[in-house]
Amino acid sequence: MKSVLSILLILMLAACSSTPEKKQEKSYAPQDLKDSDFKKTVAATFIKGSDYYFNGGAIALGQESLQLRDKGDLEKFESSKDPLSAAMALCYNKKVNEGLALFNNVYERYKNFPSFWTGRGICYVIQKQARKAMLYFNKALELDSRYTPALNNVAVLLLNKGEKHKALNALKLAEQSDGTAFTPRFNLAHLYLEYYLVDEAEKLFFDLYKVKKKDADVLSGLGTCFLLKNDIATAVKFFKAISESLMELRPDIALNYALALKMSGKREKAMEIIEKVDKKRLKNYSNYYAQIKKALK
Amino acid sequence: MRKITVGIFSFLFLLSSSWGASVKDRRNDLLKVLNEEQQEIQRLSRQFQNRNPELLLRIAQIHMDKARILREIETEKYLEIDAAKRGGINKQKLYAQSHGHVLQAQKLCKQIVSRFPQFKDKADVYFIMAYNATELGNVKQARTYYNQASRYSKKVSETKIKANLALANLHYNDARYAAAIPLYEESLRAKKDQWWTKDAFNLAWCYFRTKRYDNAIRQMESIYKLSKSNKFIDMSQGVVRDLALFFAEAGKIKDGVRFYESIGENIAKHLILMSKRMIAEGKYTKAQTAVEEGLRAAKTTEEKVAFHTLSLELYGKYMKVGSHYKSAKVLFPYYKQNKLDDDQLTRYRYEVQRMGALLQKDVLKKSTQQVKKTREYKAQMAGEYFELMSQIDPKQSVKMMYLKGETLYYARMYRSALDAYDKSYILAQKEGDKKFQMDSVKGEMACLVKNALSGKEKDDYYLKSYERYLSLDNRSDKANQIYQNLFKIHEDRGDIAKYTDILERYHKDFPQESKKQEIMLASVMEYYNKRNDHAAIRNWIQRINRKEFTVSAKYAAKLKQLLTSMQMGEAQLAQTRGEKAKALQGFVKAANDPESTAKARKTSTHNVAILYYELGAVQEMYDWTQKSIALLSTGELLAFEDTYLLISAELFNRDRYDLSIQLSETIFNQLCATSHKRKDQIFKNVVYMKLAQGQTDQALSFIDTGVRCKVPADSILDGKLETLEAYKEQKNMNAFEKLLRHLQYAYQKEPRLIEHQHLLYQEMLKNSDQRSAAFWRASLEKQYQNARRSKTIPLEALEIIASFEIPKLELQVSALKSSKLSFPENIYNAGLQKKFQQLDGITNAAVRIAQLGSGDGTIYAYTLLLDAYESLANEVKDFTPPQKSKEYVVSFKKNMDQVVRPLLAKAAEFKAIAKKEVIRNQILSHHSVNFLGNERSPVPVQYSYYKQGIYMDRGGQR
Repeated sequence: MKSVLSILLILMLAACSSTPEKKQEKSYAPQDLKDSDFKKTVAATFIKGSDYYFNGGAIALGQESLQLRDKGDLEKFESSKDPLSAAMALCYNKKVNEGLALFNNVYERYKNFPSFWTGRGICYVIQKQARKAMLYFNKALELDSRYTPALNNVAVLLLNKGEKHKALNALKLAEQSDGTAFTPRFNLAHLYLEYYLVDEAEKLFFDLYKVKKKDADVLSGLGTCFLLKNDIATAVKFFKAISESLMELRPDIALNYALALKMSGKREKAMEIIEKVDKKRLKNYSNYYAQIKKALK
Repeated sequence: MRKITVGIFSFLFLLSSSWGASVKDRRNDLLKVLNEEQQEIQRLSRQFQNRNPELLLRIAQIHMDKARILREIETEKYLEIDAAKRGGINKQKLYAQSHGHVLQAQKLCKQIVSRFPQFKDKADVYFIMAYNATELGNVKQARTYYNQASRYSKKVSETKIKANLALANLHYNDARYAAAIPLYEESLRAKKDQWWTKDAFNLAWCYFRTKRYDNAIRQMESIYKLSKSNKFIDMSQGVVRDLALFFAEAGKIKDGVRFYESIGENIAKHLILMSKRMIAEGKYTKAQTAVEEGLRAAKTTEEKVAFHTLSLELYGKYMKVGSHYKSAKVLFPYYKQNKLDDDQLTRYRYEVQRMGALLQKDVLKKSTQQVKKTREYKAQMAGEYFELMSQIDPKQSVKMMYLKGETLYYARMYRSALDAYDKSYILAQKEGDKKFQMDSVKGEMACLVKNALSGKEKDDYYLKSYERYLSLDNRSDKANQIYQNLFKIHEDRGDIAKYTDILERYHKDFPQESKKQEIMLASVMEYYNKRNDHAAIRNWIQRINRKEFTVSAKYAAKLKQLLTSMQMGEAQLAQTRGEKAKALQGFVKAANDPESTAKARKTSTHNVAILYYELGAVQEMYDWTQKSIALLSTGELLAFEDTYLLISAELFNRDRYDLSIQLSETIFNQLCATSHKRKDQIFKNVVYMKLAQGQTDQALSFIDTGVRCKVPADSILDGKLETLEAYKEQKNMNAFEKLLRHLQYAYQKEPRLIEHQHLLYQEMLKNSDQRSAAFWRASLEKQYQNARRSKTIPLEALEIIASFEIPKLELQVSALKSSKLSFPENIYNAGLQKKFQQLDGITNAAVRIAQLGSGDGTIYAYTLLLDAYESLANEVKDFTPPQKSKEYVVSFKKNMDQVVRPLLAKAAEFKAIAKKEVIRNQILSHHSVNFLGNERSPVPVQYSYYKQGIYMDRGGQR
């Protein structure tokens, strides 16, 4: 009963949040205006120290990004009292128009927040309007030229464009702007790892590991680092800490885990893992999958 | 003589005694008798051969008698004629008969005196001759004959008495009074018959005329006494009539009063006569005495009127103004009651007018001007006279009142003069006398100038006078000035209706006076402006625009400014007070008003845009900003460009790309021809926003605009490259290729094109379009060659260039690997040598690739190089000479080891170098797996995160 009620509550909240409060159509006809209409919304002051998600969850980047949150979490955020959180959640939840509308609604109050602009940019990324996104990330940087999220997001955009060298530089810049931020380190770690700069990647993954020991991406990264360094036992150890339920969804984790298991002599386990992979999700991993599968045979 | 004498007296008796009978019959009877007597006496005379003077005398007498009777008849006949026809009658002919007898008698008498000088009755003859001479009008002769008659008469004789009397009368008639007196005295002493009173009367006058007043008075008194008796002719009336004069002349008026009172006569009447006489004779002092006495004695209205009239004349002569005026005032009611006869009326009018004129003349005299009291008194009195005259003669009232004004003015009694002029104006207006109206108004204004009044009263009067003036003259220079004065007064009083009216009238009368109309209009406008009466101001400006008033172009422009400031004023005030809603409404109104001036419209529209910006009304701020820009010249835009760019940025901030783009583009177009510092930035913003909005073609078109507007070349190129990139993102390869062709032609040294050229190259290959692929390959290689000398080549381009070199290297490595070592030794050695040469080639090629600067290319080159070295090393190491001994093989292998080890060492070195390169330069190449991967892994380890990076929403907790 309770769970049913909880679900209902969530659904109701979702229902509410799925249609965020729309600003009533206001008439700007001169005769309809009053002096009180000109009363400016006081722009809030951006406090860097409060620029994070309070409830970070188990994800290392949980306080910095909602991108990795599941749908349920996102829907909770949609009804957040913090409109920026709500708007972000809407966008990540594929309700981009609503998210943008909410951003527009709170523009006056939050226009001095770099997070406002990065948030809007992210929404446009989700809407596949990368150029707009870039303009808004730059807007955030106008407010704070060292605003890490904006620098990070520019790097990610570049990565998506295939401009890996520029992305690398941007990520370094982002990392330098705030040595405590996780996301740029996370992205950098993955980039390093992809291009076999293992030591750099390992260092970064370990920093993340200290914060969130249960983050699958971090564990996977560390596992791969050690795999590359031929420290198979350690590799396996890290991979093992990842929930196997993820293997189906994450071929990038499953394949290297299987390889590590293979190299550690646990061929069957390797096979088991590799079999969990959802073939539909293989995409770019298809060749690698075939190679490993062949090696397991 | 006796007979004659009797005859004379008989005649007289007959005349008197037969009066009761019919006159005509009596005359005829008398004539008959006389004729008969004449015949008889002529007969007798003939008997005496006409030598009897007495008979001749008698005949002469008869002729005289007949002449007298005939004269009566002739006169009767004359009188019977119609008076109108009498003038045409020949009197000589009419009186011919009587005249004939007179001449006969005269002739006879002359014969008598000449033929009979000693005739004893010669005196009588002369008397008759004298009488006839008188009848004939020959007074001189008559006088001579009477003298002769008197001379030849006996001392105390009838004839002498009569002759003397007649002579005295002739003297009297000739005003030879002194000569007449003794004759009268003698005659009157000699005989006192019924005629005595009559003759004495003449004597009294002779005395009077010779200033023997006492004798004259005594004589008259005697005459009066005797006139009471029927023995004497009653001359009492004459005495009563004339004695007053005698008394007056004698200066004994009181005696005269007593006399007249004693005889019960009205002294006033006589005093009147007396006074008139005195006045007529210029004896004014005496006349004054008489008049004064008369005034005291006057009882009836006529008497009072008479005396007062006489007073006027007298006091007027002596300029006794007070007394004169008093009489004039006393007379006025009598005048009104028509109690003055014609003479008196004439006199009255004359005196009043005259005195007024004299006083006025006096006022103007220098001597009078210097003494204030005198001056004012005379002026005052003159005014009274004029006023009186105006009542006496209403036809002259206008003039009199005007003269009063004039007099008072010259006496410097301006206040009083003003009233007089006012009255004269009113009177003149009633009469329609425009000349006096104008004169009066001028007089009024002259008084006002002299401060006859002050303050509001003065202004009020001025208003009245000015209007009066204009009603008479509204076109002269003076009228022009008056209009302005009038306007000023009403303006000072704030009476807008009135000074507006003045303006309109002024315009009608002086349409060409544009400057002055402008001044007036300015005041009117100011009035309405102070009251924010926009409707009124607008109405006036419309009228001016319709040419209802003549103004200069400069003023018209000023009015527009006024309208502008008016239109803007309220709104701006509201804005200053923070009443933004009201300010917005005001500005909108002003902006939309078709009557607004251009400046007002510009400013209002701009302000509306700003207010909507403040309001955060996206569409409205955009619309109004566009409207505002449309109204501005480029120069004006520059003054506001910060604002407009701010609004454009705000539209972007509010996620309205469409509007931000349009606005920025509008601004850019306006600034196109300028060298504005922000033109470049605006250009870039527009390009990027258009591209972000997916308006790629439009972006390209806009870049062409940028070229025309002389945007810096670098920005143009950047824009084109971004557009190219956008076409790529949109997979619009046709547009992409078209643009790229243009760019590579225009920018032959631009290295950033290489990547794009490569893309097309790949596309062409994919499409199996070898020719196009070859074209693009050649293009990018040419581009690279052109660019490498002067520009930094992007890493991605270097990778592309390197990628073209890699296949060659691959081939080389493949060639190295494909050829196998074989025995015999010489072939083996040759083969080995060749492989070493190949290896050199590969090494050099790899170095060249590494020198390109491409990280990925370098690592791949190292990979191939490693492969080449390792494969050769392995081949050499693994080669066993066929069909050779064990020792040979051992020795061979030992020898080959000398070859293998350096190869492997080199390979290891290359590996180490590659590894170092990757780590040091952080080369992002998947080929790094060959150097940094796990060699023990059965499969080259791959890693790629399942997402292309994680976006960061927040900065994270510190």
